[in-house]
Amino acid sequence: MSCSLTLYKPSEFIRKTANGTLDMESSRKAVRDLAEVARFHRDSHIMLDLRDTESTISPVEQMKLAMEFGQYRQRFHNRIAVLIPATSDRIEKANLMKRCMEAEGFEMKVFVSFEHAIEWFSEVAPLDPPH
Amino acid sequence: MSIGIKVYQTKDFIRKTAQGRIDLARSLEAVRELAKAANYFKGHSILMDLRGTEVDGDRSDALRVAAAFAIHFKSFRNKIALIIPDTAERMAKAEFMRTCMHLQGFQWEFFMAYEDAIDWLSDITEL
Repeated sequence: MSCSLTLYKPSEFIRKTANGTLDMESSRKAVRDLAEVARFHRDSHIMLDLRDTESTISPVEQMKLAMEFGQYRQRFHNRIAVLIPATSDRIEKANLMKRCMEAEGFEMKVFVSFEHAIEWFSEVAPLDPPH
Repeated sequence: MSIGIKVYQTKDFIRKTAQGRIDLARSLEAVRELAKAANYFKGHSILMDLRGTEVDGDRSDALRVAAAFAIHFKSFRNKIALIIPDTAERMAKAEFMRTCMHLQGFQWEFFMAYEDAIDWLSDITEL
C-alpha cells in the first residue's frame, strides 16, 4: 500500500450551478447575478458548474459574453473555474471562452472534474508526517 | 428568491490518499500517522481518499481500527470524511465502520464521490 499526506487550504468560493440549455439571455443573467454576489465576496473564487447543461451559444455570442463579464471586471478579483461535460464539443467551446476571458483580464480555467477545480482553488502542500 | 448561487467555505483539511491493499497493520499505522498530523494541525478536517484501495479484513478488524481512533480521540476534533470505491462490499464495510466511529463520538462519514465529501466538509450558504 502506498500513502501520501497532503495539506489543503481551500479558499472560499461562489458556486453557480446551471441546468438545461444555456442560451445567451440566461448566460447574461448569470453574469449579472454573479457580479452582484461577487461585490460582497471579494476574496472568493468563482465556480461555474455547467456539467448538466447543453450550450446553444455561438462563438460570436461567447465573445459578447466575455465582454459582458468584462463590464464587471473590477468585481472579480480571483479565479474562475468552469466545470463542463467531458465532450470534445464543449471542451472546444470552453477553451474559446477561456481565451476571450483572458483577453478581458480574467484568470479562468476549464475543468471536467470537480476535484481538480477544488485543487486549483486550494493551497496544496505535501506533508511530512510530524515526528 | 434563489438565484442558484452558493457560497462554499471549506475548512482546511488533511488529505490522506492511499493506494493498493490495506490490512489491519497498515490501517493502524495510518491512524497513528493521521493522529500526529491532526494533533499538529489542530482545527483541520480529515479527508481519507481510499478509492484506489482494496481492503482485507473483517468486522473485527474494523472494531480495532475504530478503537485505535478512539485512543487519539482528542486529536480528531473535526470531521473525518472517507471516499471509497463505489461497490456494495465497500459500502457495507464503511457502514459498519461508521457505526463504530459514531459510537466512539466521532464526526465520521463516507462518500463515493469527492464532491459529496467536500460538500460535507464545507459550510454552504445558499444565496
